[in-house]
Amino acid sequence: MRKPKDWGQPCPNSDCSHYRLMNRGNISAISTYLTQSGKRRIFLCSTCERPFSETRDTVFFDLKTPEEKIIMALKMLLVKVALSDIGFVLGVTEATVLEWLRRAAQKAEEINAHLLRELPVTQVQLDEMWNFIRRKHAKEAGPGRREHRVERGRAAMGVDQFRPRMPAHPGGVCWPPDL
Amino acid sequence: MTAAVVLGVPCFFSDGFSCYLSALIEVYHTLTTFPRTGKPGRPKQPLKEPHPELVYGQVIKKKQKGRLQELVSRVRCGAKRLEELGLSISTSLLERLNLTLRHALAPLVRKSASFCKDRTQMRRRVVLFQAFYNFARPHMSLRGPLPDQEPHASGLIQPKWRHRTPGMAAGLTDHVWTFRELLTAKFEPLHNQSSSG
Repeated sequence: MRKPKDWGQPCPNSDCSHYRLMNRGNISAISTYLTQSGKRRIFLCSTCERPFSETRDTVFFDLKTPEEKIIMALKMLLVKVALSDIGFVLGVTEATVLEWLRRAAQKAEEINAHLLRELPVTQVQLDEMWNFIRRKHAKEAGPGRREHRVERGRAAMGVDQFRPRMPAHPGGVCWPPDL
Repeated sequence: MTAAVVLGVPCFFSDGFSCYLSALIEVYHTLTTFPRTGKPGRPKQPLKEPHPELVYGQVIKKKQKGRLQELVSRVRCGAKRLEELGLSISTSLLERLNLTLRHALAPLVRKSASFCKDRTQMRRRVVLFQAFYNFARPHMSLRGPLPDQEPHASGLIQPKWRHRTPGMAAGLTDHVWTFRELLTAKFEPLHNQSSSG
């Protein structure tokens, strides 16, 4: 059994005395298992005798989806691809991509909290950026301003305002609501 | 937020938005207390004055019909220290970062249908981009030339540059992180953890 000290794996067991401590010589690789993303290691903490996977406390933990697919989805989020487009290209739902995003953002916050501390900067530039998050203008517009609302169009409306009328029969055409 | 991340009191530069000065004084200030007079009445409240090391400059653009007419620089705090440091008042770096953000995140694109519907999701995207930008995305202006090497027989195109990320330039890490590394990084707990984000 190999016992190198640089596995870089902390013990995830909160009852262990080496909980989240790294490079203490208590972690050893005991076996591997095969997934769609390749071979993964199983580690054992010699202090608490509890095994754990190498994906524990990572974005990929407990996911059957191949890692490449998740990485591709998250990369697409960072290169101006819309959420619905990612879902269409990768064949997953938007909720799935958002769940991956939640995990990735949690990890990113952890990275930022650990590394972005006591930065020796000389100058800080401040600015504000304006952006719409769920426009409420369509909701606020009264019933007498029908034409105005049409001009704003579907693109400017929030999801909650845009409810397409259901087709009369299965497979029929959906059309925009009366605006 | 910035005060929790940076060391000491840096110089702050912004546009003419009026909220920054009061926010900066709220964080970087010295309290002046007044002695009790012994007379009846409410004692005088302590006064918050800007920290002696605080430097705050504004760049105000005056436009007419969408065209820039005049650029006014105004030092609101710490003119003496700013002169000593020799820094110029500018927000150009941040304006460039704003453009980078608008090019990277679909909800921030102007006049598009892909705006965000939820503030939490928007924040998550920005946080992920922040880590990606600082540690995994090489910045072209930070790259340095590689030392001259003997050309290899196998490869025709030889790398010329050593890529660097903002995190490497700040001395926070020593290599360009892979995207997978960004998603699987593990750390020991911080004992003196300060607020972040």
